Amino acid sequence: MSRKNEPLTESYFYILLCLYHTPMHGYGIMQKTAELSQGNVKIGSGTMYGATENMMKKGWIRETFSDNPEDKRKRLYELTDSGRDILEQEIRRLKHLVEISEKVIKEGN
Amino acid sequence: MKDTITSHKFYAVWEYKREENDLNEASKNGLQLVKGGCFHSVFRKDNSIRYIYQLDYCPKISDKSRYIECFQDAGWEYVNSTFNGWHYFRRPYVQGLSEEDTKIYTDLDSLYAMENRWCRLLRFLSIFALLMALINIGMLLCRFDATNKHTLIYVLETAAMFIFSATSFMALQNINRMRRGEKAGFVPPFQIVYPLVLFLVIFCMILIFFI
Repeated sequence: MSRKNEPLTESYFYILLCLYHTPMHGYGIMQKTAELSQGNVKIGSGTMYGATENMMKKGWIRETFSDNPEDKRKRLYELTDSGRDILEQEIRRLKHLVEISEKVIKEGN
Repeated sequence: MKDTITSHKFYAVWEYKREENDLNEASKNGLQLVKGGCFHSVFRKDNSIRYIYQLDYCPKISDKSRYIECFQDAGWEYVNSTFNGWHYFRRPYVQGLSEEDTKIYTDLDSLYAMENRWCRLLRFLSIFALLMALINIGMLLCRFDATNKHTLIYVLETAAMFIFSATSFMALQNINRMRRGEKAGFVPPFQIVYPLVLFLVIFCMILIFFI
């Protein structure tokens, strides 16, 4: 079984999704995740540290620092090309699942 | 230093939730943690504030400043770390805060990953102690002699290692049971077993040295 196709946990998925358009701070990701999921998914600090550590090792995200002088000290996370691939693959997988489910449900049996 | 209090209460790795609860309870009663430790914790009396505590086990941290920042950003105050990789965090208690907001691990995958880090160590120690016990039995059988002064020492040492191995093994079994949502089973109290094993092993070493 290819590791690449293993489903992402919700925390991993949201972290990658938050970074899709722009690099963000860790805390920004936590807030955005709560906002996007309407409070259903919360990412605690331990979960966040482990996930970012793991994804940096896998090369899905990397650390970067802001150009904004006011914000220079703060660490940002940025999506890498392979991270973007993983996220898009996962979105395709989920879409496919939803399509199959709808088809089965519509058939009525 | 009248208003600092030292506690020598110690907890087994699998009792980290109990330690968190005890710290929360102590904080409610006005005892605020200054330094958490495995055998030695320091508290300060302060009734003006109340905290909620969380423990994390992370012995290998590649970038400590990133690690602490990750918690501080979300409102956790870093208290201290122990030599063996436990980290103490706290935040002021707010009434009505949901339990989810006061947990550092918010999904089972990451919580299990943290627990697995010390489960691996526990499994290693358990197997190591069992091996030592078996080697001892082997030696005992080879040299068995009713008049041999060392026989009793070997028996004691073997017993100590078996007890240690069994306790660790039962604790691991218990973690798996709880993960499956089953009722917690019996685990011998670490607070008695550990000193007992330590005492027996040291006692045997002294005996071997003097006899």
